[in-house]
Amino acid sequence: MCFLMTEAGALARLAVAAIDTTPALRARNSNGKVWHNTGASASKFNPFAPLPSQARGFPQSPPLVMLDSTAASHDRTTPVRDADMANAVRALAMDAVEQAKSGHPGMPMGMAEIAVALWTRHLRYSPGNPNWLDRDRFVLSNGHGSMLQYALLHLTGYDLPLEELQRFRQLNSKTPGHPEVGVTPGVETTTGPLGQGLANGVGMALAERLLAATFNRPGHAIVDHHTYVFAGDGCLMEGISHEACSLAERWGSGSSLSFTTTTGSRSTARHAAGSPTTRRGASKRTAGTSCRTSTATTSAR
Amino acid sequence: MPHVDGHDVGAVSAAIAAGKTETSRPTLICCKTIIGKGAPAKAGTAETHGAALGVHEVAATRVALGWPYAPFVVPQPIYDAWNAKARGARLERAWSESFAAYARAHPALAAEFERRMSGRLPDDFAATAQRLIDAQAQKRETVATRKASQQAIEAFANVLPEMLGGAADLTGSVFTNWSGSVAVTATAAGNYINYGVREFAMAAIATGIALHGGFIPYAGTFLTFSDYMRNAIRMAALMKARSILVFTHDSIGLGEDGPTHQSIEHAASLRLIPHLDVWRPCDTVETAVAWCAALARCDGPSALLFTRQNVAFAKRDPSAQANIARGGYVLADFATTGTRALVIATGSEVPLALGARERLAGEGIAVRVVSMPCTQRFDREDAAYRRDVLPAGVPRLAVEAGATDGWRKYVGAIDDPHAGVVGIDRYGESAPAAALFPFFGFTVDHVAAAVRRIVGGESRGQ
Repeated sequence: MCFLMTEAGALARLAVAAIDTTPALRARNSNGKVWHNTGASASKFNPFAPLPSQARGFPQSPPLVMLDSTAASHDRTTPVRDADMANAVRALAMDAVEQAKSGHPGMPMGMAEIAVALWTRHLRYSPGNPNWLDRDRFVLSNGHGSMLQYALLHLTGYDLPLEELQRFRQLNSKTPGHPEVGVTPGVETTTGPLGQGLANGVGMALAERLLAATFNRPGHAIVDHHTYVFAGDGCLMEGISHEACSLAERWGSGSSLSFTTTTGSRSTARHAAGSPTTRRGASKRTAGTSCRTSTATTSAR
Repeated sequence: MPHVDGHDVGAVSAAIAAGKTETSRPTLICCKTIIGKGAPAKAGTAETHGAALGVHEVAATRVALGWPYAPFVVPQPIYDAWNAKARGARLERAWSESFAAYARAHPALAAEFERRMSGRLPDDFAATAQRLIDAQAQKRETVATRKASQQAIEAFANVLPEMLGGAADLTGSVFTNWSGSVAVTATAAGNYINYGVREFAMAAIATGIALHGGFIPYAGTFLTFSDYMRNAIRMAALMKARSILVFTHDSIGLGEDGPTHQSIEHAASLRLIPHLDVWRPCDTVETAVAWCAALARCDGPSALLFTRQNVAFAKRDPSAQANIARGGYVLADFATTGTRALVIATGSEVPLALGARERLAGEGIAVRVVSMPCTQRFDREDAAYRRDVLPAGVPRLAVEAGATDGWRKYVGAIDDPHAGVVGIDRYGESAPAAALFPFFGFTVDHVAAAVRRIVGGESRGQ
């Protein structure tokens, strides 16, 4: 079992891009080309030029627009870089949250590269059959970052069309606010109450180990998969993670139980003042912390 | 693995690769990341955590990332690079071929594996359950229902290797083990998990086991500690996971340990959790039925509530026995004509209802005792059955050593002079159980008096 978690640390401050967004928007794209605000008239590289397709998703968008899509750096002859794949996740997460005017963009944007590493190089899954018995189990314990998982499921080819991402958090969509098993193909467990997904993952990994011991035979490793958990620092603040991890370690030694953990990006949130956020970030339950920023959501979980 | 740069795909991938080779223990990869990375003004701040970035920041992020595409537009080459359908199909096909070879070499094991993973109970499960129920009816044992539970576990676990038990450091009290229990350790596969004093994780791990497939997890502790587990129970119910929670010492009957450990509101509050079935059986037969129902319930969790103390066996005819599975049934019917009353009871209070029925028969009051081990099951019965069990127009009393509110649904409003509940709406006391039941009014005398009051229209809420 693999827990992947993110935590606040040295890199946390690096991400705050030193960009003055007003009045002139300047940024350097990944190819080193500088985009800039050239004024009201639209030019090919004018980030303020309106795009017809943008108005659909953002009816109230101000005249702030990005490059014409014809300027896309991707054609079929350009190799797709990890950064592009990560940015696809970022953009889908950001756009879906923007469309819903609700959600948690920070985690998927922060964990995008971790997702690329796991989902393209290690995780064994079959988008055409989410119920394949020997698939690796993937758990998003920091379930508020649901758009990360929805973006991954969509991009890798699960039955989760783009229209579902566009209906993020809407009634009867397959993209509820937090991942729900049985609602979205490829979601293994319902998460959101922090730390519990990690404990679910411990259970899944143990089940794998015990089933392997029961059914595998020499030359026939029919039960042979891993459990991967994405967890944020909030998951590790919850006491249940201590309960679950101390058990996982006891069961793990000398067995095939192997956990890989990645922490989620929420832990890295920092304020301008540099004080760490609470598990619930800027939401309502911030007593005892210096978290002062406010958001529109009522709950971060 | 500390200090992995979470924005370096190669570094994360290398850490995962190293984690996969570690087979002796779980691996925790600690990645340093920036929340909201890519958003030029908000990345690294809590502002990106729980709210939309806002149109300006979204546009600025596109620029900063070099992502010039319209919302929800992903270029085909990037889609192609992400698409894992062909790779997944290859992996699955390779596994299917190896499973086919396995099935040729070990056909019985392969069939059993497929059965286990499908969640299907063995074909002879129903017969096993019926044998147990009939045997318990034959034996008419007066035991604590926690003991009756252990007998049921013994009977079922012998034929259901998928039962994966455990308890939160209370095995010797909750009796969740059986003669074939083997502890899960670092080196032994086992079928019994010593969770330690970790109730919350126990419930969530059990859910994970159920979700993985191949097992039916069950886990025990004292009923009062269900509070520690509550959110995990709720999540299991939301997910419709088949996990079984065994909760013993289900009332003031726990005795000397006192109010910290005595359940009051717990049965009632567990019944409030949607899609959770809560069973509080009264004897060995009802306990066997409850276990059977929980094991067969493939689309949801069950909580089984058992006593610490002995409970007298309740004699019942075969039709009553057959109706236990419906959650509520007529255990002892009106024996005479004349004034009638209904007494609904669960668990350890059923014998009190039966005693009051006997007492009142001599006074010309005919009492029907309805045993209601599972209100959710009863609620799912059709209205005709429910009306048949609880006919309208008959004064009703509920008896349960716990919070009274939930029973109002079945007996009538608080101002109804023909409705009453004998329960406990305060905390318990530290004393032997034998002293506590009379202290809190759980005697045949008191229940009979409560029936007289509802029959006479003098009930004042209790």
